Amino acid sequence: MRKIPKIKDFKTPEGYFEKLPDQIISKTQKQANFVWLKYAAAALIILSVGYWQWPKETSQSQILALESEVDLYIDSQYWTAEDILSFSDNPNEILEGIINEEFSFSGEELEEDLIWLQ
Amino acid sequence: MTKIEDQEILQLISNPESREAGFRKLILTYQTRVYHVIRRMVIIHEDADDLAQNTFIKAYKYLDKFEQQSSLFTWLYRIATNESLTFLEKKKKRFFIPIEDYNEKLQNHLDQTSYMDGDEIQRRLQKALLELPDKQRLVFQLKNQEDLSYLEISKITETSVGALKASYHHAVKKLEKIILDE
Repeated sequence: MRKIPKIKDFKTPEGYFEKLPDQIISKTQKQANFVWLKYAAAALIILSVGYWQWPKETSQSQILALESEVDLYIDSQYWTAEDILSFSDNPNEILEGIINEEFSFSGEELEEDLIWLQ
Repeated sequence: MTKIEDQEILQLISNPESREAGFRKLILTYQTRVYHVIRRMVIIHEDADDLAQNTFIKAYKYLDKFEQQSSLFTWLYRIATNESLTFLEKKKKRFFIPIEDYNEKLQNHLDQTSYMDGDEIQRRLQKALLELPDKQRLVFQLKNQEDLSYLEISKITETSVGALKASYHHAVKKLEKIILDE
């Protein structure tokens, strides 16, 4: 079996590796904010619908449709985290709920995802 | 990279106050190798850039769960190679594009001289590599380019050493045939 020569490394745009760490770090921070924003929006919708429709029952499909609509506003970056929280009478309560939910994960789903990473 | 450097990185990351500094050190230590192992698989810089970033973002997300049964380098390579293979699989399935068409796209990309440094033999070899199945190409790259041992490749790909040896042998034979036939 002959020895096959090594292939030289591909070229990268100038300064690529100098910028890469900052790009990655800023993405990890954005992702963290985005998760919070989604939780905040979902919590806010449930609270708002509950308030306006009380004592009438609101169907699950109405809540889901509203959640999708809000997700659309967030995905298109029309609403920011501050916008969502400003809709609420008590933003601190929502944030506390999010923190509890966010940092109590030990779900099977996460574990499954991690198996191949070990 | 040495175990000591890995320990240093993990120690920084475990402290919330130095977590970001530790993560930055992790990127700076491994970014070049991670990028190139991905780039050799997906060829196009923009794709390699996305996948390299995803690799580190995933690593950041799951670093707390890293149990140090392998080195950081092996762990990162495992994420990177998995990302690359999943990406290629998706690309080849998307819109029912035949595999040959996507390979042709990559081969044409190799003709853009500004993206590749090397002589004609290098280019022919790179094109010949694209004719191998993705997993075989990966094994060849890790062995021939990265100089990894079969044991290390086995940890990265979760494949037996015997299967890897056979895969590498087949890859070399095919490459020799492709290059000689041209």
